[in-house]
Amino acid sequence: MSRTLKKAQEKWIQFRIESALRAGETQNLVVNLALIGRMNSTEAGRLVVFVETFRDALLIRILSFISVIPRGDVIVVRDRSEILKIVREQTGRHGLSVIASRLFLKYYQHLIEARKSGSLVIV
Amino acid sequence: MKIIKRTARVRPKVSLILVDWSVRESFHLLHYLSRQDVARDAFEVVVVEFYSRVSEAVRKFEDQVDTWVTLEMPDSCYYHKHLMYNAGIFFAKGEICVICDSDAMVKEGFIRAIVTEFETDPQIVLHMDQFRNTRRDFYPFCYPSFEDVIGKGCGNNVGGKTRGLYSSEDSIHNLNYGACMCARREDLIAIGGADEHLDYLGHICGPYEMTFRLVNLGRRETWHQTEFLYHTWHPGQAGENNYLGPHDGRHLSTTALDALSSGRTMPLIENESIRSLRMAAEPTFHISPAYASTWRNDTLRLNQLRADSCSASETWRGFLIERTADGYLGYPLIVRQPAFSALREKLEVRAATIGELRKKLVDSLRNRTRIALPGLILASYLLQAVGLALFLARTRLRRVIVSALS
Repeated sequence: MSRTLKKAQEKWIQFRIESALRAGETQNLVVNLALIGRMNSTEAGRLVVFVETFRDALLIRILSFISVIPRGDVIVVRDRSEILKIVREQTGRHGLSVIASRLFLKYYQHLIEARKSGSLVIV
Repeated sequence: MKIIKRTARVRPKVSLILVDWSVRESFHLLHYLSRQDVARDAFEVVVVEFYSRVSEAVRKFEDQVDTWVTLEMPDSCYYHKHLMYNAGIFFAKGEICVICDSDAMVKEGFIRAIVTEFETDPQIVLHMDQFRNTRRDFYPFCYPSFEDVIGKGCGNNVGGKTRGLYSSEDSIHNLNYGACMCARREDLIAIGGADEHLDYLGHICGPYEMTFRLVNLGRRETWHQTEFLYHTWHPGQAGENNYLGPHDGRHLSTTALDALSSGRTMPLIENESIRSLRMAAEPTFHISPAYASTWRNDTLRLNQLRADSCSASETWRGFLIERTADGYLGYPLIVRQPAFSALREKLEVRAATIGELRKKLVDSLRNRTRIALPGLILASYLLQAVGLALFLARTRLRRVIVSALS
């Protein structure tokens, strides 16, 4: 097998694995948000959901509009400075922040403390 | 297990753990360790071989080796680096354990840099990144200069620092977590040592699995900003034709990543000898006899890139499914987080078969969610397809623009 073909095959396998994991993660996020809604855990404060892409944000907004998941803010995080700002802001408020695990893993060094405090939930 | 050599050094500060599974052609790190600017008694070298081979590459630098152990695992058994890490931790006498590449180059201040970092803050897990050079003319290893390694052929040198250190996001994929990891031996024992689960068999493994659990324990992950390792090309460096456990598509263990996001501190399978050390007993190093059959070569599919087969637990539509002695157990992912851990018992579902459990888990959802679920699954895959289409469109567009400009 030529080197180019082998590389293309590796890239394709990588894409397949990554997209399967991403799709699974979207499902995880929605199902767990629905469970949070059922448990009325956000009565004490507002719910904020952090996602990685506008597509995920759109899906969550649609599902909250039809009341499958509780209403709250959906924030798309594009870079590190944004996540630091948001976490700082969140820690000062009463409420629950939910973050997709893929996004958490991207910035985990900055988010460990927020998780320990219980204000950040990783799904 | 056979001990070929045992150290006479009484209280070294640092223990370097070097592992081999009868593949290493060169242990030239030992050459660079003989040139350190600290007293030789400040550190020891522990070499652990998975099979029975007495490596000529180690023999060449035998005077630098303090402890040399062969685990004598049968040839029919596939290699598991984490078992070797545990053997290294067990035999180490130093306060700080260092797990690093044995075929890398280090500068004279390498050991001093590690000691200084831990003196400044003992509550850390320290990593060092690696410059990697792809030039084939350095193979077989011919002791190039450090300048040569970071020069032509080095893909990650950005102004004297590795590219990963400049990157402000996704450090997990941009930094080399397997190059060099340093942690206090006491801390490594407290987290139960390296995880000996089947998911880490073969190429998808590394000390980062312990780093993530140490971070969950409260240790601060830090990357040295001025001290690096230097690696030159050799055949098979990317794990070609190796067995691959579950990974994220970029060769990072999904089981280790899950440990980080769930906050888990203990391994899924703890080494018995490390557990005894944790319980303050004085054991001998013990290898589970069951590994000879569960790690057999002929039961594995070599060179298969797989996402989730043989995994410790399975994530299914927002729930985590685990196998128990009498069937299956499932619970929503949120109960692993501190905010919802108290609800675990209430939300746990048990069943004898996986099919039954999945049905029960779906039934535990509200009607509206249940109805929306098939649509959601379809939507999540469609969103990924849109992502691919956008990516391809962008790439095509870029090509068109570039060709139009040129």
